[in-house]
Amino acid sequence: MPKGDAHPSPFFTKLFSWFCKEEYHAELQGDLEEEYHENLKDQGATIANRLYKKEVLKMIRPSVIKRIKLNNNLNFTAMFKINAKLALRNLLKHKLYTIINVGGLAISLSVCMLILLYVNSEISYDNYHPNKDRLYRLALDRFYPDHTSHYALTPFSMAEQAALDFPEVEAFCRIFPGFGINVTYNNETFLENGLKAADKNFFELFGIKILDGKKEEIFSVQNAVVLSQSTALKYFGNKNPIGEILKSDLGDLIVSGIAEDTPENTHFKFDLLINLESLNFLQTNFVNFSVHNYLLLREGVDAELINEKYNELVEKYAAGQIERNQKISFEDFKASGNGYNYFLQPIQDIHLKSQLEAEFEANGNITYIYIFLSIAIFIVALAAVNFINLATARSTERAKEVGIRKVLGSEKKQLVNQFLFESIFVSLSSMLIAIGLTYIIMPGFNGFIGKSIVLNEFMIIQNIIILIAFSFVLGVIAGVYPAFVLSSFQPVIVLKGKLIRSKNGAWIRNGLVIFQFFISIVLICSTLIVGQQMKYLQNRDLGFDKENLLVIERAFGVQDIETFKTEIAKIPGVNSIGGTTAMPGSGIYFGGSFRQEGMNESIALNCAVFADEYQETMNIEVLTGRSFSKDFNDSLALILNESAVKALGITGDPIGARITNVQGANNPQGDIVYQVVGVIKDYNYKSLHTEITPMGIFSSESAVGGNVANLALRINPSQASNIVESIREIWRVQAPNQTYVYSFLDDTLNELYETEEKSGELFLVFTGIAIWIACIGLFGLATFIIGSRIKEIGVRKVLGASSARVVVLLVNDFNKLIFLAILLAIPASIWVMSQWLDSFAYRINMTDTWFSFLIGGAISLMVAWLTVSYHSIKAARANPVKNLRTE
Amino acid sequence: MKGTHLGEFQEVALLTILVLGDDAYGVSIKKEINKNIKRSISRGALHTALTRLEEKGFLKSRQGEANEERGGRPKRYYEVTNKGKEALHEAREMRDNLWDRIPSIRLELQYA
Repeated sequence: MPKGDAHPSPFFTKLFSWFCKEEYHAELQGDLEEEYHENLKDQGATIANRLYKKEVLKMIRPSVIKRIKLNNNLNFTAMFKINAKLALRNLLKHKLYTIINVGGLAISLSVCMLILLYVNSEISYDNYHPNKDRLYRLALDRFYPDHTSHYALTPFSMAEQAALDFPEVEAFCRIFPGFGINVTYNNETFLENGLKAADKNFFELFGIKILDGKKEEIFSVQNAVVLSQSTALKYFGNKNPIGEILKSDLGDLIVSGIAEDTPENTHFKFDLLINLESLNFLQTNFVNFSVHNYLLLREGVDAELINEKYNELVEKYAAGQIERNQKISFEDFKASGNGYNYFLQPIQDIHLKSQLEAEFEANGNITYIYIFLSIAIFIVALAAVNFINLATARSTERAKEVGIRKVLGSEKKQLVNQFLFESIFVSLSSMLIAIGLTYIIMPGFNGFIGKSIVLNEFMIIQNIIILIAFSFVLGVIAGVYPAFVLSSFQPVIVLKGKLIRSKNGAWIRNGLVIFQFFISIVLICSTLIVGQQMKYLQNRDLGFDKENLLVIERAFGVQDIETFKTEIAKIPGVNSIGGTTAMPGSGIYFGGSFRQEGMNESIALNCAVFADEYQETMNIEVLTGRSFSKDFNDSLALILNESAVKALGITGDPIGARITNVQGANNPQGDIVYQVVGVIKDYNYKSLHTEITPMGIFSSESAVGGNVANLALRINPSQASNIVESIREIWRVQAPNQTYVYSFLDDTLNELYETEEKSGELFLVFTGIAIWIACIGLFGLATFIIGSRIKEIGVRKVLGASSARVVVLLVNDFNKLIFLAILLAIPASIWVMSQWLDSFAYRINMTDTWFSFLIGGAISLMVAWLTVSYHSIKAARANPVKNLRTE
Repeated sequence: MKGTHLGEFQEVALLTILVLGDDAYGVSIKKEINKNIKRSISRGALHTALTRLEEKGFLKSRQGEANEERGGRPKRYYEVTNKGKEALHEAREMRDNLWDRIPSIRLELQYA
């Protein structure tokens, strides 16, 4: 019998003796221990201890627990009532303070909640897939001799081969990003842009639910299509869509299933999902980027290992294809600075941490999440600081109250309780108001951030408890300092009318003011710099003229493009027309491999096709040579941008240089030699987030030409709506059953910077709130400091100081604090903003932003002066007799 | 009624104490109940019943001896008072009365 060294859990023993009524404790503890020892004998220490703990917990019942001991006060509820009454009276008596305090806190808490809801929805992306921890997307760092590009789109066979070769890979799925198609049902045609194609196991790997149809047989026929719920509703209404046939550009599609609408927190969306097998242009390939590859790894496999293995896979499969295409050995290819680095991205990281080329849609940015979270914390911190400052500021007013209470027999503890009660009361009511505010703001906020967050989903007991606990803690933190300061006044001194000036409290208050202004100034400067950068982006010379440019998309839908163009040209207000495969900003460029004739090394260029007059319509500057024109046969002509000239290593006059477009080995016609006819100035053909990379431009007369997708029209802005309508008429005749899609280039380009624009606006709002809260704090502090110097002011005035002189003297005190805050804030904002600016390829220099700091500092000083001046002027103009009479 | 009502569990407790006779204290009562009614009750639940019964005057208790296993804490022995015995009789009579009035045919198990 292991007696003597075995004990029941000491913690639970202590817990029991803490809550058990004394009169029963000896008996019950004895019984419990006796039982424990018996269990120890029969079942061993672990089980005995567990049973003991269980027994102790089951003792928590009214007949055993001690009555709650009520302080030494006679009556707890009476005390509570008195405290509540006093708190309410005090709050009502000082309405201005109450509004400032409760209002400031409520607004900042509400802002904080909104930010947390936003952050919560951002980090919840792709968290619903069944094996989300093992599901990865393949991405690529592609090294070129002169730059590196990062792609989300990877070759067709990359995942398939990995699943065959690597035992660590359990499954794979490919998603083809899709294109717009016309879909007709019952003589109604819609343009569907949400088309994606995927492998058969799509619904096993991704957590999107099938609502109708059999999961296993979704893609058992080649031309099967799965519709999202809302798409099905659009075409079929209440009819059962399974087995129905939709006519489309891709032929007849048989509806085989209905899926729920892609959840908002997914990094891709689809309206129609077709079988990847039906797209027969997708063939075994290890080089050309065509699909998004997803891999499901086996349990416990490190993604790093697969990353390593991909290097071998590239050597084994891609190298051969590259050698055939480029006609140089893979070793030489690598030696010239080319390379492929494939890596896996955890699926849940894609939304916030992946900013690659060819993502499904614009992703979020983890930096913004951090920025917003810190703003949320700062704003609540600012409001809490105010709380403390305002309470101390009022101590002069309440000193007499404290004195009287002490004389009448109040203990320090009671006073502390009273003040804590007040502050908890304020913070709890602010929390209530904040929740109400959040409900009111939520719809607008949702519209602004483009999400649909449902607030009621978050109103669960757990969150409510957290909110209450948080406001309780906030109340205690904010109230504890003033409570102890106020309650430690000496009644004799206070009642004699002597003023209280706690020297040691000064540095805390000053520190808090500096902190508040530090944050406000950082926010002001950051907002200004964000604005400056946005303005820079919008006004930057993109290399083409984006104003008054109407774009007709999907122009390949018309029967004869030339007739169509002639018809459009007749419309009054249309100045010129040019066609291209890819409009700047959102256009898709195809890759081509080129080398100077006689050279071994080829490089990749982003390629587009320009029709005649496109360059003129867009106002893209031609540096040398000419652009494509009717007067020449341009089928073998090539235009390069400046970067491409450099990248190809053309040293002399580029005009007339012979450039080989290297074709793949499976291309029977072999390489084609083009002649450079012109060089255009680098223009930003993608967004300003990325740098301009080398670009090659074919003519629409060339082998890769054909019908161009976009027509760019330079128009007269005053006739824009007429032009759009006239073209609609022409379109209806020339492109029956095709959807008419048009856009204005400047709108499209602005959309590229929407995230930045929105963040900028949010910044502005937050800055406003932060400054406002800081001012409230300063206002409170001014009351306090000036209140305590009222006699000094009186004496100065009696001795001949002018009112103006006194005001300057008082304001100077605050100037010191603000200057210190500015000094601290400048390096902080420089640091934060250079991080942000780094995400742009084209950005303003930090040195250009000095003006922002000047304005930021000036604004904060002005605001501080305005806030302080109310009190200073009042104090300076007061009759000194009044102030000095008290003694 | 409230003062003299005997709950089902309280009745079991009283009867158990009578069964145990002189050895009725917390641990032994609990053990006996667990054995007889095949229900695991906690010492806390038993405590509630015992204090309630003592308040009603159905039980009285006295302090007993201590031993090492109990960490030197004394046992408390329980004994059923006359009032308690009366209550038990009353409860039984009431029940018997009801049993008697049921025609035996109705008590046969029926499998429909």
